[in-house]
Amino acid sequence: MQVDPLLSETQAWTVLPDKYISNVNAYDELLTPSGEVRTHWQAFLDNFSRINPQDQQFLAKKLNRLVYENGLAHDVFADPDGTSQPWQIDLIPVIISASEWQWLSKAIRQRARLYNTMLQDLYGPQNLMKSGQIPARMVFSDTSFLKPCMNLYQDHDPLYFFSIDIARNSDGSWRAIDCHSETPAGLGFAIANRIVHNKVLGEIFDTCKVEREASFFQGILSHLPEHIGVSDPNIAVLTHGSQHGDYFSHAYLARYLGYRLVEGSDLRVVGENIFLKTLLGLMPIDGIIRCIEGELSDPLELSPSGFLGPAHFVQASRKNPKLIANTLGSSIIENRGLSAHLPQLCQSLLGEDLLLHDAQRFWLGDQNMREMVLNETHDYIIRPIREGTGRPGVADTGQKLLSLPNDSLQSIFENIRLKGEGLIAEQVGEFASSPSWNANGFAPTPYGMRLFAVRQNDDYVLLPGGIAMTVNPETSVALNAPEGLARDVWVLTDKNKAHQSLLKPNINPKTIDRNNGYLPSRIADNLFWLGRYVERTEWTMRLMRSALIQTEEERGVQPDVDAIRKTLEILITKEGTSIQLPSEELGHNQINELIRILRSSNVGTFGLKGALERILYVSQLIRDRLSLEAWEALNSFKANPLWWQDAVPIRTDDSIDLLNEGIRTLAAFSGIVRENMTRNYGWRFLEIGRRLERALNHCEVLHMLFVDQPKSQNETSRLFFMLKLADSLITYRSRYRFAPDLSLVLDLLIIDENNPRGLCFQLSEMMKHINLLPQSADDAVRTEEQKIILELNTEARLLNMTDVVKIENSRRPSLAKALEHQIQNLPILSEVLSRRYFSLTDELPHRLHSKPQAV
Amino acid sequence: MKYSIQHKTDYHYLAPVIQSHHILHLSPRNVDHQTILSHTLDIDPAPASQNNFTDYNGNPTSLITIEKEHSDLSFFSTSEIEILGNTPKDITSSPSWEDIAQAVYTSNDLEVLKYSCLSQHTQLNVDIFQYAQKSFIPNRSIHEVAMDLTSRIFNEFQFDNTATDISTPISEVLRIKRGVCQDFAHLQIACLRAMRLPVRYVSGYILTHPPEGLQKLTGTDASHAWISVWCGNELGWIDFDPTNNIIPTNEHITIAYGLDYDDISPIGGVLIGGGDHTVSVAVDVVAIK
Repeated sequence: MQVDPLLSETQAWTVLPDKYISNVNAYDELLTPSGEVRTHWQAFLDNFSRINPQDQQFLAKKLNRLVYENGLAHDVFADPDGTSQPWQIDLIPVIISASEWQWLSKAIRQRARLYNTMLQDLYGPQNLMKSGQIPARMVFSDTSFLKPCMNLYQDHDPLYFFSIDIARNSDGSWRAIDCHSETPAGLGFAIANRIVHNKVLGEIFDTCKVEREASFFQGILSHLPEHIGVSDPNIAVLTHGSQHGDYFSHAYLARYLGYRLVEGSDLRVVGENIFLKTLLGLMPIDGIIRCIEGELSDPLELSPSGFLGPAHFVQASRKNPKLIANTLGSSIIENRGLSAHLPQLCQSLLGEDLLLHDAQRFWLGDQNMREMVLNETHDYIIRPIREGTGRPGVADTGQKLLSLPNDSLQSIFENIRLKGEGLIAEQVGEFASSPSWNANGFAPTPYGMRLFAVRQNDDYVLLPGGIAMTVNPETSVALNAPEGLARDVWVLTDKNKAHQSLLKPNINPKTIDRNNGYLPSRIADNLFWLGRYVERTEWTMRLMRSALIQTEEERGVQPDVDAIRKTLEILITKEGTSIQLPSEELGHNQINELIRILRSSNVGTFGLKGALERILYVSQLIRDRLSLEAWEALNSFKANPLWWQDAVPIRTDDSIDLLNEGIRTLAAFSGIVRENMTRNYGWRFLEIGRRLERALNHCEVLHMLFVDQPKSQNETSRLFFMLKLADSLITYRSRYRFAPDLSLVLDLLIIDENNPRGLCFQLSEMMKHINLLPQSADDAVRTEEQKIILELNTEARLLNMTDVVKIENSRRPSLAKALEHQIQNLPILSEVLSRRYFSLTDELPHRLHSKPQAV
Repeated sequence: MKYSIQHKTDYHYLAPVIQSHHILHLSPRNVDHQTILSHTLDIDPAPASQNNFTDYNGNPTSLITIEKEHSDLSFFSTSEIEILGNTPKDITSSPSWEDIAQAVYTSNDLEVLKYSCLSQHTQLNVDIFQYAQKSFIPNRSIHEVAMDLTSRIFNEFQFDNTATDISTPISEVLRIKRGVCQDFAHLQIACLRAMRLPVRYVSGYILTHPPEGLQKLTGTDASHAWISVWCGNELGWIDFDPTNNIIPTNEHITIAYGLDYDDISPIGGVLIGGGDHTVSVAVDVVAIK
């Protein structure tokens, strides 16, 4: 790749303002208290100051554009109304020296080993509780202690993924502020941060002897099979789904490791074994990287309201405790109340002094601690004993007692008295600063960081890097970063720099799966509907546009007001609400107004606003299956408020422009899909959906316009209208030099298999795809859907145009019959396909209860 | 006293169930004063898979999956159980509730401690705490406190099986002063756990008596719920029934212990398909000796 020379050979600029040191409150990563640059920052500083200030600005902007384009900013995918956390990356990384890293790595590995052993005991013999080393009530009152998971922890290491949030005290020592043992807790963000940041500062990265992260992930790829105990396993990453704030991280991790990303509803437990529901049937899964909360992962044995995993998930783990990493129930050791007990636990379990200590904390389940906090006047911060799955930067800030008004204070006190088991008290801690970049150069900014470890060879290995986040030390005791300001973490190495690439890890050739038959049924279902919705929306826009464009330019023929009326009737019927078509002749302004109402409607299946909402919704459900460009094309609808506002009157010209823009956008999406999407089953379902919808709408409008004999004998303007609507006018003109003739037009719009807007084209395309679906047969025993499409296709091809245009009692009966046959059977085809391929996803499971009834 | 118990639960679904998974606590456990002489559990349609094990609270538990499409599902449990006459302990000499609370604070006995924490159905709020406080007179014995709460709930609350359902929180039960045995048990448990005292939720059966002079009808007994309170090492666990204002002796038959209903719901399930359903339960408890 050609890179513009970024670093000046001859000149250096000042990036470190004089006032930097005076803004440092606690420990600073860059400068010593006397203001000297720490040696491990020197190389970075030298290099960075050789970038000219304009380029620094440019790089900072580019960095955050990349954040957006790579989907790291949650906003890219999020629900437009959601209040999601933003995500930005600072130009300046946090740099850790090799010797410091050595200590951190040792301390964090010790922690992970300690927690792994604690888990084995808590879900096994429970000696730590029986001997009082861990307060039993702390464990029993924590809803993340999952009683059904007892004995899932024998003979293996339950803690595979571990991460920890740390902060540096003003004396330079480190403290742990939270640990994460439930899920990989943002590991996907860490990789994505590194990749994006490297695209901008890669040149400096290369010169600074920074450890690369790729080997950590290659370690997972080569050791996870061993951990699970299956060679060449099928591993899935289990996520909440695209509606969840951490979905990006889950999807990124899955993609990076080359594992399948699945949701709970994709899985099914049969006879204690777990399977993925796919188009080809059930596919066994050997290992699961769990990104969902344990408590919510089996509606049968765990929380009855949790449907994030399949029923019998616990039972499947009983059969094979190594199935899930981390083991269900592993988050119990995240309980912040354990902090005070860790030094002793480390001694008794590992025979070692605890290297890295927690912040000082008091568990309010203990009556003496409650008394102390309720009676002392220290400015404690009261916080819950745990966070959720641990998206970096969203930790609860807690409540600072002394800053509360009296009534809130009383209610907190009450909470402590009644439910102290769920709370801890601690005091504001110190956060070191590290330079962050702004237009004036460096500024010392407080930060905390998350580091990651995985189990390997009876110990743990650390990701050489992590995620640092800018925190507000006034309000925060944990990794709370409401601004979402992240920084890459660079770990320097003494070793000679390894020239390992951070590109896609090696894939075992055995795992290559070209035809992707194991497509989850849910994905196929959503792609099918995305195809239908996109086509339906485009069709609606075309109908609206045709109604708006006056047809007089066509050789002076009068506009066919009746055709426009009938077109609007189709839309209004489908919209299905109370919109009334005026009985008098439609004027220009009335048409425009009706279309404005239809456009902003979100009821029925054809209200345009509703249709766009459905497209965005479905595409979000499968966003990891769409290329970024395809996703962005659809998402661009969000950018234009005209699609979403209701009452704004709009001129006809503007209305046409808007519809043109919409049609172009959808065409761009279709083009991207055609050019970029792999020809797998997913693509086939998208295509079938699109073709089916187009065929159906096409038949309906032909029926509406041509079955009844028009009032005026001259159908010319109607034929023009139809040809334009079906985007076939140019084709027609290139073939026939005279005014449109009904039988020729119908031939072009129905029978001609070369016209991509014609009926037979849709039917034969569908037939091609349906015949290639996994359960189709190419011998005599065809599936039901094969039979239906064969019949529809054959019938349409064999239509006799002479019959079709015949009029009896001012109607064209054989045209009516032919179109009605299609209109009736196409929805049946859709149902048959759904039943065969998507039925496992049809209904969500729900709970059943029985209750005692005695008097 | 020996009892023969028949417990039949029939579900009828308005739409066919394609597949169902269930967790069952229908098989009675052995407890100090109770011996299981025999027990059978029949399920129709027959499960494709069944796993029986003992849960963390020591209760027999079954996990089943039914793969056959069905619109009706029935569970038929029959048991013969001997109640060895719950020898009346001298509960008047029970320790004070403060002593029990202090003993719990310093105890490492997991079998006791695990029932001292709040749970999903026994969440506290200020109203419940204040309601409970009235019974916690200083130095009152644990037995008196528990019996006082039992009587207050019996006297102040009305049995009404239309007022609440599974999801009604006890804060609402306290407000409307109505509910069924399970609501009363949950409320009393929360009151006692408010002081960090260990209490178990008990599910089981109760022998009912026909109105005077009438023949007992079949199917009129019922599954029932009450509580069991930790009264110190000497007395152990003592049962209280707030729905009937009594200390159970030999007409309560225990099936399972839990923190609350969720731990030991007799039949729980996850269904695919099914739509709405109706359920009918018939229990017969017959004294055979």
